[in-house]
Order: sequence, then structure tokens, then C-alpha cells
Amino acid sequence: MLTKNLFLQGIFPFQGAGMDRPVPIHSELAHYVADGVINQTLYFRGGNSSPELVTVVLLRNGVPMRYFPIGAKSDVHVPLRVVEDIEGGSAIELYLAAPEGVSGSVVIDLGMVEH
Amino acid sequence: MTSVLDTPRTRLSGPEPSGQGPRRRLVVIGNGMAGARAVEEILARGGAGQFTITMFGDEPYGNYNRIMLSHVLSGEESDADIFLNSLSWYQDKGITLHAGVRVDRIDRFTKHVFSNDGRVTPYDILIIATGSRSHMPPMDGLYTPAGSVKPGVFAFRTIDDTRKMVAYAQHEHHRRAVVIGGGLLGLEAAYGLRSHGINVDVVHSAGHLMSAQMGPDGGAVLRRSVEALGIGVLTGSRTTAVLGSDRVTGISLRGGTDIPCDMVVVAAGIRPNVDLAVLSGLPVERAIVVDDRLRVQDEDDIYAVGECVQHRGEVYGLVAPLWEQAVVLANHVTGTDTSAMYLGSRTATKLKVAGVEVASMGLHGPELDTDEHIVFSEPSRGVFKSIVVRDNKMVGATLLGDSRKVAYLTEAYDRGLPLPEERIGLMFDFGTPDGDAGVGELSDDAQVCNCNGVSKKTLVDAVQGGCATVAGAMEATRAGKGCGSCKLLVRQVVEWAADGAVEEDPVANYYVPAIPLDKQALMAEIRKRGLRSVSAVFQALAPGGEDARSKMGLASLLKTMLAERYMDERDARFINDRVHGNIQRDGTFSVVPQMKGGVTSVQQLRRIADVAEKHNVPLIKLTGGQRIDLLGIRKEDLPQVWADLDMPSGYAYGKSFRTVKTCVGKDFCRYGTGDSTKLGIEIESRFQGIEAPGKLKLAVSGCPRNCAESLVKDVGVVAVEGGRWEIYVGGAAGAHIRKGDLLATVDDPEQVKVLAGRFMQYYREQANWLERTYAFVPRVGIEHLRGVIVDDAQGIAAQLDAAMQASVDSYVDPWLDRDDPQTPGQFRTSLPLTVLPQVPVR
Ligand SMILES: Cc1cc2nc3c(=O)[nH]c(=O)nc-3n(C[C@H](O)[C@H](O)[C@H](O)COP(=O)(O)OP(=O)(O)OC[C@H]3O[C@@H](n4cnc5c(N)ncnc54)[C@H](O)[C@@H]3O)c2cc1C
Ligand code: SF4
Repeated sequence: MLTKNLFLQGIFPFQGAGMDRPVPIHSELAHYVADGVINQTLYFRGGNSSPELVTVVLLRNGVPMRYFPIGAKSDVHVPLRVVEDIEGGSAIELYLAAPEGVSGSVVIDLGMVEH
Repeated sequence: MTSVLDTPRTRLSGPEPSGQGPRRRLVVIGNGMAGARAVEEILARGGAGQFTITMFGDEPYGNYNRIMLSHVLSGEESDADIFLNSLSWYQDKGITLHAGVRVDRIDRFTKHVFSNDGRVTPYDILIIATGSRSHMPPMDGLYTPAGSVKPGVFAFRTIDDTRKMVAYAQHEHHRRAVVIGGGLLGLEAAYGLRSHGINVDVVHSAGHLMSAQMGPDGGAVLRRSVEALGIGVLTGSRTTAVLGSDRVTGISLRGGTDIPCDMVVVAAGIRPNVDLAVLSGLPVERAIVVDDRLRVQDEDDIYAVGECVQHRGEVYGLVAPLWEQAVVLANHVTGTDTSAMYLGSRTATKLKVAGVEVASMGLHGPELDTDEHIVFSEPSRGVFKSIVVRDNKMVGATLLGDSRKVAYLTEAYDRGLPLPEERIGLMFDFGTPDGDAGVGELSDDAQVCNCNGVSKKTLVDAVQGGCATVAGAMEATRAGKGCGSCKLLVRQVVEWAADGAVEEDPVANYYVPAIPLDKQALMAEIRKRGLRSVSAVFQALAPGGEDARSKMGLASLLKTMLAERYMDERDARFINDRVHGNIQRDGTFSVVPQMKGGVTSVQQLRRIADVAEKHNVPLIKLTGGQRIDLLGIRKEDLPQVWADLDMPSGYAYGKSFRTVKTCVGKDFCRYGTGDSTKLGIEIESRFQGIEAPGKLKLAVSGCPRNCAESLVKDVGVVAVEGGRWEIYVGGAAGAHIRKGDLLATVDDPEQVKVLAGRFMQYYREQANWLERTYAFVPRVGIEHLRGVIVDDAQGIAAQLDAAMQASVDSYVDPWLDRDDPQTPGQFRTSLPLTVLPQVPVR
């Protein structure tokens, strides 16, 4: 089996639109799984420079699949122990939910494999 | 659920009483390729003295070579031949094997494993080797309401899967299959089913076949080769549903197309078996996380190995990495080398589909602007080669249709060798002889056999250590004993290492593999020592003791030589001979009563009809040898069928004299000059049942019009003008077609019987095991035969006649066995493989 590592990563400024309103962070943080390929997300690392709790949401085809809350001026590393298959033809995106008016930067590193 | 070799009462829960010696308890979960290999490596390092070993395996068998299942499916290998460690191996090594028992949970604090037979087994060191299972992608209608997979849907992972597929594919109403997944496994499955005459379509969701291993251009060439095998290919199509209510009737593709089919094989990837580890709180990501010592992360006494393992983020689906892992693991577990580290493997894959050579490694196309990409494509011949070079190192290659350079490229890839300036030299040999140059280029530690991790040096050492034959070197190193795709290279290396001094395999001249003697020398020894049974011969002459592959040949030879003095031993016989019937594809047998010269009577016909009716015989068929074949008899019914028939066996099985086909001849035919029917009956009465190296089919025709096809028989007789008879030998009209050679023309039928018998006896004594007369006659030459048989040039004619007479005199109808089975299981149903004894579920 041949696998390929893939990452969605970078440091992005954000503007909170409400904790219950996840919004896209950046167009780079989207990935389309090609036909015939199976994708698995393996870990998430995140950092949050704002003084409030924020949540990064991993969406599959527009539906939330995992939530990664990051504390104020804090960071997380979540090695995913429950690994799911994401079939070819699906879209994977990262959104951010932050309290309205809060702004700052998030550091994002989502690790995936495809085979 | 089954279990062997254990003493349930003594090995239940609780730590073993102290004072029982210093041996620690090693428990292995998973008896697949990795688990068994790890144990072998541990034993090789003196593990038997350090540990009492207990293994659990979910499958009710010993350990087998999973790779070979592709060959079993295609019929190139029998399922009995793929076992790596038989049950007696475990016994010999003192290993307690719980076969057919699943471990459900590990208590890593108290160090016990809990299995589904209610057993609680303590361990000091635990090895997890649970492997993977087939991935079933989400599809509507895949499961029945009760939760099992719909009948007709198969995974391709275990020996049971394979057997069920073969049985299903051989069912006469099953004509069409769809294989989901066009990767390595899917193509092997499709090819295997195709070999059973099934129409197969492969549905692959990516844009081209083997998309994980090669780019679109290679995929297009591969597609042509696969289609040339008669396999349909649909790429870019995803299966959305399995159709049919109680069994498969078709599949639906995205976009609405339906494909009707009777069976579906899912080969859409594998998933590591990690439920046990997850449930037991071990660190699992994509698979069980291990460190460079194969120790489960943060666990001191638990190791994991094989496909259930994730090492440095990688999960492997091939055997080569697990051999490397097993070595490192064994070094640590036994303390032999505690500095051993496993640093990951670079893998190369090969497709095991006859006629379609595919090898692939690393990248399949350039990724960076600076990557060089060298491509050669010749789609009409099915040849495609692509190599990706980065910084003067090879980082990937795809080779289709021509694998001569595979060994060199694999090595260049594995070890980042500097490449020649002339890149084209990577793909082709110019001006150098084939093979040798390629082998010379390889460095010492280049892997020749990936399946068993054998390097060029290991092979070369074996040759220098005295293994001067290819088979010897293979035996000594295990090279070439995995998937078999490296056999050519192994031969080249051995020849290269022996520097031309490679000996012709003496085995090629042995009459049977286990005894280093050719047929004449073997017969001389048997006579000299007065041996009378197969086991006695093994004991006296086989350096390695009994050998299953040699039994049949020996049994036949002894019968030929000794006639009634032969001591019969049932287990020396092939299944057909053990039950005196021809085993059919579905495991039932055919019964062919004797019908001498193709002549029958009202009574016989009526009796056969009655028996067929009584036993619900599904098919009654006339054979090519002019007899009536009752097909579809179950093994356990054989004795009753024979008893009801109360006729002698027609020998439609076995390596023996079978039948004499005749034409109507003089009395009825306008042309006939000789009484072919009468002579045919006399010949058949005389020689019925005699054993031979291969089957013997005879015929007698009443005139040169040859209605009984005498010219293409092992022995064929034709009446010619003036009441004379021509005797032809060495003809065939089966897979091999040959007109027989004229041995002699004689004046009367009695002479025919004498010369035919003498020829058959000479053939029995001289031919190699399984050598049919069509090969034997041209090998020794018709002049030679005429000399010996007609002119008695060697003065052995009387001897041959006497030996034949002795065999004729010792004839006993084998079907009389019905009254007195020779072994308890002779007529009991059995699977081709030994299933372990059933034990009650506790
Ligand atoms: C048809 C086919 C063709 C292949 N061809 C190739 C090839 O050409 N080249 C190549 O390199 N590889 C090939 N492979 C892959 C190769 O067979 C595997 O890489 C190899 O078998 C992995 O070994 P393993 O011991 O990790 O797993 P397995 O061989 O799957 O062994 C695991 C065993 O553990 C048992 N088990 C699982 N859970 C439990 C439990 N809880 N309790 C007890 N027992 C358990 C399972 O029943 C199984 O018997 C092929 C595989 C298949 C199916
Ligand atoms: S071989 Fe000659 S004798 Fe026999 S059936 Fe044919 S024509 Fe008649």
C-alpha cells in the first residue's frame, strides 16, 4: 500500500463571528479527496493568539466531523485515535468559531494520509 | 471453534507456580505471516529455552502463505500446498497453538489475555500480530437485514474466503462477477476468477488501474493488458449499491448504470485489525503505534508486528516489511541484540497475474520542477517503463511488461545508488548479455527475494557453501519460496555465483524428489534390499525421511515391480486412488463401471439405470473411452453405489491401465477385416487395473479407417489386410496430440497381446513418474523399443512378460474395498485441508 502525507497548515488571522457560527478561515484550508483515494485525518495541532477560547471545526462535505477547541493564548495537539475513512469525492475543510468581535491569529497544522 | 495441543486444566488462569523453571511466558495473538515469522525468528535465537510459547489464531489452521491465495484462486496452486507451518511444526517446537480461537481483550495491568473460548492466559511478554481485514466501502445493500454480508459478496483475505469464492465460481449458474477495486489485489482476484471461466468486470473508482502504484499513462497500458485477458475494466466508476434481495443479482454504479452479476468480490483495500488493541487501551492511530523496537508505545512488555502496526506514521500492506520487523522484534524479545532498530521499509510491489508483469516502487510521476522523468511506452506490446529521478537518485519506477531491470532498479531505489549518466541504461541493457550483466550490477545486500528478505550475498554464500544447484540454494535460503516472482532472478544469481559451474539439478533426474536416485538405480536398490512398502523405501533410501510428494510415484513403482508382493499402504495413494474414483471440481466423485471394449448388456444397462435412479445421480454421461460415467456421487455414498452396481471398477481414475476403445469390427461393419471388439475385450480383461507411471488408454480398430482412433492412443491396434494387426505406441489426443509410432505388424491377436503387454511393462519400468507414453516413446526412440520388445535385443523379453503376468495375476477389483474400508476415513467426507478436531465451547 502506498500512502501519501498531506497537510493543511499555516498561520492565519481571524475575526470572530460568534461561537456558534463557524466561518471559513482561509481558502487554503480546504482539500478535495480525489476519486479512488481514501483520506484519513491523523492529527491536529493548533495555536490561538487571542485572549478567548476558539474552536477549529473539521468539516466533511460541509458537515462538522471533529471539533478542536483551543484555549486563550494556548495550543493543542490532538493525535486522532479514532481514524475514519473519508471516501474519494469528499471535501475536507477547516472552519473557525470564535466569540464575536474577537480577533487574533490561529496556527493550524492538520496531518492526513491518502492511499 | 477448535483448539489443539493444549492441556486446558493446567494452563488456565493465574501465574504459573514458581519454581517451574526460569522460562517466561510468551503469548502471541495472531497466527498469520507476521506472528509465525516472529516466533520462528525468536526460536532461531534460542527462544525455546527462554519462553513457553502460546499462540492464538482466529483461523482454524496452521500458518499459511497468504500471498499464495491469489495462486490458489487461479488454480495454479492447491490450498494444501501453501502451508508454511503445519500443525506438527507447532507440536515439535513445543508451542501451544489455539487455532480458531480469538482473543477479545488484553488486561495489560494484570498481564492476561482473554479469549473467546473463555480462557484466561497470563503472559510475561505479549506480541500482537493481528494483521488486517478487507475494507468494505460503504454501499447500499451490502449487508442482509440480519447484518451479514449478502450471499455472493466476498472479501479476499483468508483461505476460507478463497475456497468459498472458488466453490461459488464453479457453480454452473454463476457466470458473471464484478470485482470492486482495480488495485493489485483486485486484479489478482479478477484474473483468478477469469481462470474459472467467469466473466469478470473490474470497477475502479480512480481514473486508471493500480492508481496507487502508477500514473495514468502506465495505467492505460496496463488496462490494455488486463482487457486482453478477457477482463472488463470500468475506471472512474464508483459502486453505490449491491442489488438483489437474498443474493447478489448485480451492482449499481454512480450515475445510474447497473451491471448484472452473480458474485461481487470486494478488494478495495485493507484495514488493520485494531479493535482488540483499542478495547484494551493501547495507543492506536491508523494502526497500533510502535517504536523502533516494535514495542507498543509506552508499554514495556507488549510488542506488535505486521500489518496491524503503525511505525513512524507508516502502515504497511506487504510482507517484506514484516520480515524486517520480525528480526528486530526477535532480537529484543530474546535479548540477542538490544541495539537492533527498525527504521522503516521502502517497498516495491509486483502483480501476480500470469502474463502481465508489473513492478512498481516509489513515486509514479515527477513532483518537483527539477524531477527528471524518463518514460518509454510501447502500448501495443504492453510495455511501459517510467523512472523518476531526483538529485541523481531514483525515487520511483513503474515497469510493465518487461521486468528484466527490476532487480537493479529496486536496489537503486532502496539504497539511493548514484545513477549512470546515460539514463537510458536504467531501462535497457545495450550490448550486454541478458540477465548476467543485470545480476553483476547488483550489490551484495541487494534483495533478491522480497517475500523472504533474501539478499544477493546470502544466495552467493549459499552457493559458495556448496549449494551448487538452483533448487539447493532456494531450499537453503528460502529465496523464491514466497510469491515466486523472483525465481528467474534467483536462478540468474545462482548461475552467476557459480560462475558457470552450476550443476544441473540432480533432482531433475530423480525418480521422486525425496530419494537421490534415478529410476533404474532406485529399482536396483529396491531389489537388492528386498523392500516391499513405500515406508520401507523411505526408511532405507530417503535421506530426509518421508516426503508426501514422493509417495505416489513410489507406490506405483513398487506395484509395477512387485505385483502381489507389494505391501499396500493407503496413505501412499492419491485421493483418486484412495477412493477409486475421479474427484470432480465440486468435491464429488464420478463412478465408471467396467465395460470391456465398450460392450454392455441389457442387464448391465438396467442395473446402471437403477443405481442412477436410486442415488439421484445428477449426470449420466458417456465417456470418450466408451463407458458410462455416473457423476456427482458423494464420497460417503461410494461404497453403496459400488455395491448396488456390483460391477468391477472401470479405472477411470488413477495412473493405470484404463480402457480399450473399440470399433464394431468384422461382424457388423461392412469394412472390418479383424474382430476388433473381441480383441479389445480380451486386452481389457487381461490388463485391467495395472498401475503405470501415467494413465494408459488403448484402442482396437477393425480396419485402417480407424473408427476407434487407434493412432492416437498409448497403445493402438489396427487390423490390416490379410488378417494382420498393426500395433502403434506413444499416441495421444488430449492436451498433447501425437500420432503413435508403428511398433510392429503381427499375424494374430495372441501376438498383439504379448507385444502390447511387453511394451507396457517396459514402459512401467523405464518411464519417469507421470511420464506419458507420448513423451516416453520419442525419448527412448521407436527403434530402441522395437529392438527390445519385438526383437528381444537385450534378452529381457521373457523377464518383462513374466513381470507383467505377475501383475495380471495379482489383480483385485478395488471396488471390493467397499466391504472393508482400509482406513476409517476412507469414505468419510473431508475438506482438502485438515480441519482441527472440534472441541466443545466452554
Ligand atoms: C490474496 C492476497 C495476496 C497478497 N499478495 C501479496 C504479495 O504478492 N506480496 C506481498 O508482499 N504481500 C501480499 N499480500 C499481503 C500479505 O499477505 C500481508 O502483508 C501479510 O499476510 C500480513 O501478515 P500479518 O501477519 O500482519 O497479517 P495476517 O497474515 O493477516 O495474519 C493475522 C492473523 O491474525 C489473526 N487474528 C486477527 N485478530 C485476532 C484475534 N483477536 N485473536 C486471534 N487471532 C487474530 C487473523 O485471523 C490472521 O490469521 C497479499 C494478501 C492477500 C490477501
Ligand atoms: S475401423 Fe474399420 S472395421 Fe472398425 S468400424 Fe471403422 S470401418 Fe468398420
